[in-house]
Amino acid sequence: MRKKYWKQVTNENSRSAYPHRERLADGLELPKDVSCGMAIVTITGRRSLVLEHYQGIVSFDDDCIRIRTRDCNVCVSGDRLKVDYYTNEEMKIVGVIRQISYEV
Amino acid sequence: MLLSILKLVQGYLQVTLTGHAPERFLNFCVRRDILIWNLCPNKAAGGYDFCISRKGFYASEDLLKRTRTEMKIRKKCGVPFFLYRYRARKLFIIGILLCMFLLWNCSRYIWKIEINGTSELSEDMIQTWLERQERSYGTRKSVIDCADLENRLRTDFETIAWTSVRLEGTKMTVDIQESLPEVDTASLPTDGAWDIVASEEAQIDAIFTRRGTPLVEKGMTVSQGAVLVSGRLDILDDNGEVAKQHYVVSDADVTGVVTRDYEASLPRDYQKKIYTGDEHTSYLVQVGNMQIPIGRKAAYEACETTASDHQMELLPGFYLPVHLFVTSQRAYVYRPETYTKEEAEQHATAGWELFLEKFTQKGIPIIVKNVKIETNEKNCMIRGTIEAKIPIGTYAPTQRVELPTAQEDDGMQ
Repeated sequence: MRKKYWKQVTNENSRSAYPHRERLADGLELPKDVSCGMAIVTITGRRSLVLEHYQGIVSFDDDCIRIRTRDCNVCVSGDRLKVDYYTNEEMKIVGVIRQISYEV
Repeated sequence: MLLSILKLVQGYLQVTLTGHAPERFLNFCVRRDILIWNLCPNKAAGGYDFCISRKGFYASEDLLKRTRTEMKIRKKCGVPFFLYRYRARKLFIIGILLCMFLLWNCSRYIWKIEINGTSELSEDMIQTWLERQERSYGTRKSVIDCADLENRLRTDFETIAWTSVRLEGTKMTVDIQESLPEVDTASLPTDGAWDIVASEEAQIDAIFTRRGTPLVEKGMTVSQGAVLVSGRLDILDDNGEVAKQHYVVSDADVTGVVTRDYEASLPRDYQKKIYTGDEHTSYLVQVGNMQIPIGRKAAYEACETTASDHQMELLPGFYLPVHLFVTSQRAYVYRPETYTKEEAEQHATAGWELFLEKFTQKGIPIIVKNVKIETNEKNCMIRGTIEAKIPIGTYAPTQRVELPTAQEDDGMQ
């Protein structure tokens, strides 16, 4: 019975890159961005977006920027999008943001 | 703002990135801590436009080969590129530095002195005094002690009640407040027997005696030299006769109404100044002690000359030892003319008004004024009389009177 429960849990978290780390973080109540390196998306109004803990740019057009993070791709759609700065720590996207979607 | 200045100081490039995998190049850059900003896609070139730091550009050269991309420089910005571009114009840069040094050096000296608030003292007197103290035009600011200068000004000029010396840029401002002239009490008698006598013929307007025996009353007419307040005090006995006499220095304020006459004659024929219309302006530039004339002065037979000094002020309060003197000359000739009756009377009245103003300035009230203007073919005569209230008392020694002795009195009986 116990084995079955573990199997279920493993299936639910099969999409996560580090399921054990996530479980540990949940147990110790640690923030996920620190323990698992999950992306932080900070949006100010609809004109500016700051993204931390990303891995790189996948594609970039005027109306869509696709950024790879540890567990998924973040797709920012909008008009006249531009990367204000791009560093190892964070990047800032400015323009008119219409939609943010997560692609697994 | 600070970040923009830092970027300009370090230098940066605006580039266009094209090739096989430009995104890969960007990701490599951030991993090497190469700063990229203002990133946007360039559809025409099929790549990206962005700004990259100068150091980052050189550090990313091998990444271009690895990612099979090309970087095209659109613009070079910042100080390092500016200096490289103008490396052949060393003298220009040296000139700028020399100019900055000269300006800095000029800012350490006084190049303008402004004196405000003088009335009895003239500005020239203060300027001369400052020159004697070696604190004038061209003095180094560091040797000027404003508080000490204020103290010395008050000590050397007794009429100065308050003064303030301050430095603003290369200008020294001296503000002065003069006190009213003090009454010369040294010449007044302090002991002995002194009368107050009339200095001129007048009608007594007011008399206020503090010491002595008043001999006149309000409304009386006195002639010059008449005793107004006697310095002799008579002490009477029971019979009303003078028993004893005391002599003192009289002290009183006596005001009298005096008459002043005014008479002036203005000839109607005069030489009128007619401007010929010829004008000439010449300039003179003075830098320190060096004078550079620009244009010659015109050789008119008779001309009216106006000169003005313009000192160079780089910033408010930052004067430099550079002066521009502008001299304007207007030629004229004299032509004999005759005043009309109205003009002559107008000129005569102006003189009369000037005469009245002298009394007003001294604070002397005028109670009556009469004026009469007579104009004939040759002259315009103006005669006027005013009555004014002025202090008329002046000191004169008291004549001592010997009292009759008791034996003389018996003999007479």
